[in-house]
Amino acid sequence: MVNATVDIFIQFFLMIVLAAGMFVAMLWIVHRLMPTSRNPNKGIPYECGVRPTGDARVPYNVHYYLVAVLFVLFDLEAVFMYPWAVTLRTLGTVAFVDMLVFIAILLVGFVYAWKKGVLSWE
Amino acid sequence: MEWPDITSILPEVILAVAALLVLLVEPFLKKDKTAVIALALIGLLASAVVAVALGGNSRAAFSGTIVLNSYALFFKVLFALAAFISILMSPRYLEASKRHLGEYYALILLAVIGMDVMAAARDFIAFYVGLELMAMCSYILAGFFRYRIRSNEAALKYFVTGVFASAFTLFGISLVFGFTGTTNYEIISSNLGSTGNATGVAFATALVVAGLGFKVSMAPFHMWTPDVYQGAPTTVAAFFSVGPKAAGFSAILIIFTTVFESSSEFWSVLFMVLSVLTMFVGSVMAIVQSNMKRMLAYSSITHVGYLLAGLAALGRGLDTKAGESIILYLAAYTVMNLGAFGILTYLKTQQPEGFDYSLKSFAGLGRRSPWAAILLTLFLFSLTGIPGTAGFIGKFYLFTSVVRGDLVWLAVLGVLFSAISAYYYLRLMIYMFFREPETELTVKEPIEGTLAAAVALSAAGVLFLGLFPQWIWDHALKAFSNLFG
Amino acid sequence: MGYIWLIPALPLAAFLITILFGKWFIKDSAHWLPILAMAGAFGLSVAALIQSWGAEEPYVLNLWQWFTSGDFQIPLALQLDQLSAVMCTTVTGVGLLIFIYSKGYMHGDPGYYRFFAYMSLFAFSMLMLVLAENYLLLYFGWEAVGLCSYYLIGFYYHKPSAAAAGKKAFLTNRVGDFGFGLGVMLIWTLVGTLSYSGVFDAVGAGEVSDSALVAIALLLFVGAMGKSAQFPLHVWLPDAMEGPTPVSALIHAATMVTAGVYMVARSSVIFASARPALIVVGIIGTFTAIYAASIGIAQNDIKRVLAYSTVSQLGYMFMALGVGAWVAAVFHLVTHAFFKALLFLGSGSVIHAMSGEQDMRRMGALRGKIKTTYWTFLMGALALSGIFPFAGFWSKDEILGMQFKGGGYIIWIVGLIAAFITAFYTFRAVFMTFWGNDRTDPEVGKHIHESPKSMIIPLGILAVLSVIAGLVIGLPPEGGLLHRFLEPVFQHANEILGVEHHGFGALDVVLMIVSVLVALSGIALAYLFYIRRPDELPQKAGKKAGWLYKGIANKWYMDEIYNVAIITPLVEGSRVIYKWFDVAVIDGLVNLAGRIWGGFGKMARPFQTGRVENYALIMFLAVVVIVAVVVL
Repeated sequence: MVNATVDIFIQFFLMIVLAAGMFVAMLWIVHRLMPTSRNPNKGIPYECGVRPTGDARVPYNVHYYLVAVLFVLFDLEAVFMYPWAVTLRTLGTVAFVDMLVFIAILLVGFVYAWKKGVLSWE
Repeated sequence: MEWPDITSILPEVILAVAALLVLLVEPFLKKDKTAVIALALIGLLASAVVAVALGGNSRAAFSGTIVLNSYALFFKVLFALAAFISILMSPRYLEASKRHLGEYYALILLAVIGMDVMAAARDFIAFYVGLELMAMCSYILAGFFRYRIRSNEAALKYFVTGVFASAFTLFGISLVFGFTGTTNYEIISSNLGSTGNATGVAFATALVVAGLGFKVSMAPFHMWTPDVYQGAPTTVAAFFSVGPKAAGFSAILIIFTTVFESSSEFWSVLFMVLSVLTMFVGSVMAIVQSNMKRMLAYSSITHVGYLLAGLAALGRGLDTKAGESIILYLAAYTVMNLGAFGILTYLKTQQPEGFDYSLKSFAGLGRRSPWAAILLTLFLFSLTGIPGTAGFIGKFYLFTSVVRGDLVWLAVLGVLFSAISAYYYLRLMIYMFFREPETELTVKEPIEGTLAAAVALSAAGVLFLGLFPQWIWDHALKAFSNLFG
Repeated sequence: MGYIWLIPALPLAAFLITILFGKWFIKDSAHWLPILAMAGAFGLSVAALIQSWGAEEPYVLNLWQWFTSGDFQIPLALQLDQLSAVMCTTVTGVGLLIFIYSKGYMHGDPGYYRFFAYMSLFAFSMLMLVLAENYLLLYFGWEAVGLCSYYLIGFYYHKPSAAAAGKKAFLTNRVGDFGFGLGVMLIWTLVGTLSYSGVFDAVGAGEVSDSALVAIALLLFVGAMGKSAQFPLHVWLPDAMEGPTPVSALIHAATMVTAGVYMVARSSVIFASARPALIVVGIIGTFTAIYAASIGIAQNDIKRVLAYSTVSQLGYMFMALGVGAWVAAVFHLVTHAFFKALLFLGSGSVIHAMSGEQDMRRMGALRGKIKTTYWTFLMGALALSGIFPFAGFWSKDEILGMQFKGGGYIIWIVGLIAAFITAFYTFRAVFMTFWGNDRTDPEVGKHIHESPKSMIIPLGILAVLSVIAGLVIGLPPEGGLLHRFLEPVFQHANEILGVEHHGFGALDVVLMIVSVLVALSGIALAYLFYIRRPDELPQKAGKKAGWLYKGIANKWYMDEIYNVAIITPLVEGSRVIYKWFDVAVIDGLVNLAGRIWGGFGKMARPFQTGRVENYALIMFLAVVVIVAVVVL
């Protein structure tokens, strides 16, 4: 039993080592093979000659993040629904009610977000 | 699929509904938040009442992952009370801080659900979900004043260290799962002893201790406590100092008496060491504080040290009544610490700019606002453990149980550290009554409204537990009569 | 009799309401609630007094069990028997009158509500003390009355002397309380219970060895000495007169200071079984009686005269207890409460009239100006001097008679001399205050006025009581109403001691006549000195009366002796102790302890960096250490 466990761990460990090794090896090979020419113009953002104006880090509107978070939430809701929909017939009414509760909770969050003005761009 | 036994989580369902309603109603309100406050209070009250009503017949549900019995009931009522008092003291304070949002109340309710689940869980998964729910709400609450640097700092520190601690807990749980193949407490406790891997079990024990020790702020996992208490809104700090702490102990008690029963010799010694360390760090650091919020943070660490002494006695396997004493102490600690924070809240609402929680700003309080001074004296007396107050009863039972566990030296140390605690508590009283204030701070009004109710409730609790301890002791005994129900 | 809990509860309620709402809401009408509460308590006490008549066993009311932990339990139980009923009635009765009096006396004081609040708290504590069912509760009441006394002595806290007097009272009482506390602990360890009935049954059954009983009794008596101001722990009482006069009347004359007497009487079974301790009680009492009386001669402050007389009269009570004359002691306690309260209130009325003047040398000829005060004060003075048929006569005579018939002739003679001195200084006070030449400051003289009704009425009632109390409850001597009433309480102790009842006979009449003559001669001497030759006495009396007058003129050198023998060494000694022991050793140790902790704190502080990465690191290291310990 213990040996079997150890075996599994060794296999797992080997896989990680191999995966990491592959990754490093590939990067290394590309680095060696590619042609390089070093000159200062290679360092500027736009090689075609346009001069950069200002910082590349532009602050995004915070709404962007909010919408992104909301998207993830409702996206996951949909993800949950797929397996549920597939097995609904065998699970019966209980699962149906469960999903209703789940959607209701998300709905409250949706109403909350809406009323708080998260969805309106200005 | 069968219908789940929803009655056993009915108190939590009520809280969840209340929290959702708060969130639903909040956006429609303008300035007056009375409706959400009322909703939150009614929700807490209803959940406590329903819990008491259902408490008569213990039951297990969701394949034994959640129980409703007198143990869970004790904590459900305690958490509801802590949240109730915290909410009562909040409105005026939040208004004075110009950040009165309804989400605050929803977050507290959600945190209470997490705590309830922690006390009621008999399965590591359910326990962990409860723990994280509580923790997530706590992180947001700590940063509730998001325009203040300190509040942000508190939230961030709490979050980073909290996640770190959660990782420890999860690692410990996964080890246990690895040894036994289950997450159910009852099955683990019967299987774990026979794994024959004492070192592995001790390893898992240590990891769970670290994770939960963070929540109850036991040294050396306490570092976040003073910073978070100081940075977080005072009412939130008040809630943190009692709620998550009691929840942590509710889980520790149940996990260590069942899951880790087989390694009790190990964790008894571990808690002895940690108890001494925690009492030492707490009292030593409390002495040098000049900010009273920080002082209360360190003093709360000292109180955790006393409770750990009780845990050490619990691990001795004797008839110590240590578990009962610990939950009695938690009840006493809840009311007295909330009361002390309530007075701080009151003082802050009176002078949002002038009052900085420093020792100096308490000078002359006895003259300026004798009610507040007298009540704070009562709470400080109780925290010190003066007879007639809840704190005395708590310490009496706790240290008696430690003595019964053949740990006389630890009890003596505990009493010694209580004596030292008198120094930093009584020093505050000296400032209140015998020092002249440097700048004349004025009080606008006596303690009023819900804040007065909160403080009065705490004071009544302190005196009631101090004078009629038999009632709570009987309930503590009952709580421990059946853990799996 | 389940209502007896209300007796202390009413003043407690009055205290709570007055202290909480006094400053903002009740203010100048703060007197109503305490007075009503006292009246209620008094009514209930009288009812309890009547109901307890003839009861064989004390009535015990278990209020609540504070908490239990194994064998250790702390019950709150009240006990009503005849002794506590008498005490309750006296405390609430005299208290009620003094509360009413205070309405007039304290009128306009900035701390009006505070005064009534503390007085109510005192009444509560005192009633708890006398109604306690066990030594623990007795101890609680004992400490609580001490605390109230401390607050009320220092009532005028802005006056340094008042604050100092409060401190002195507190510290002196600590000495006594320490002994008392040890006594209670000794009872607990030897008997295993603290309830009166349990302790007395165990003592009666001979479960406690004689030497242990003597130790217990002596320790308890040390407590009584502190509270009842017996030599050498009496030093605080005269200074306690810094408090407002109603406080002096209620706490430092009528009630609190008699707690020691009550406690010894309550523990009569213990004391009766510990003869050597009983003898000590008698000797200390007798000595205090004459010692304090002699000091009383030398005082010029009217309240201080009364203070020393209180100490002296308390000595009489212990003198009685010393020969097992329990009832006589309680009898004197009751009558003394009446007439000493009267005298204090009367002196308060005088001070009130004199715009705060307390020095008798700046008084005189007041009897025409404040007539009612004069007459009532005179009644009290006659009672204190022991003139037939005033109350003090019966009780004091009973004490002296018991000494004589018990064979204690020396004590009897000392008691008689003390009675003589008492009569002398009492009337010295009367003559200096109310008779003779007018020596008042003309500015003060203009404002002399009789006190308001609320002050006069209590004086009148107390005067009536001082006249008739002895006749009503004390006749015939050693067999009066009070004796028959209190019989069940002391039955056990009397059986142990084998006290026999003496009938009332010719001997008693002779003894009475002797003591009245002694008192009268004291008064006559005072008349001679202070009315006949008031001004030229220091010169003339030296030639005429020889050493006697010279001694008196020099206050028997008592102040000097007292100073040299007690105060100076005490102060000097305490200064030395303070300097060398307290400052150097105790403070040093305390500061050292503080510094050590502070040092630890400073050492621990660097760990609390405020950097979250350090926190995480420490958490991680802690886990590593724990795991390392486990694995290794």
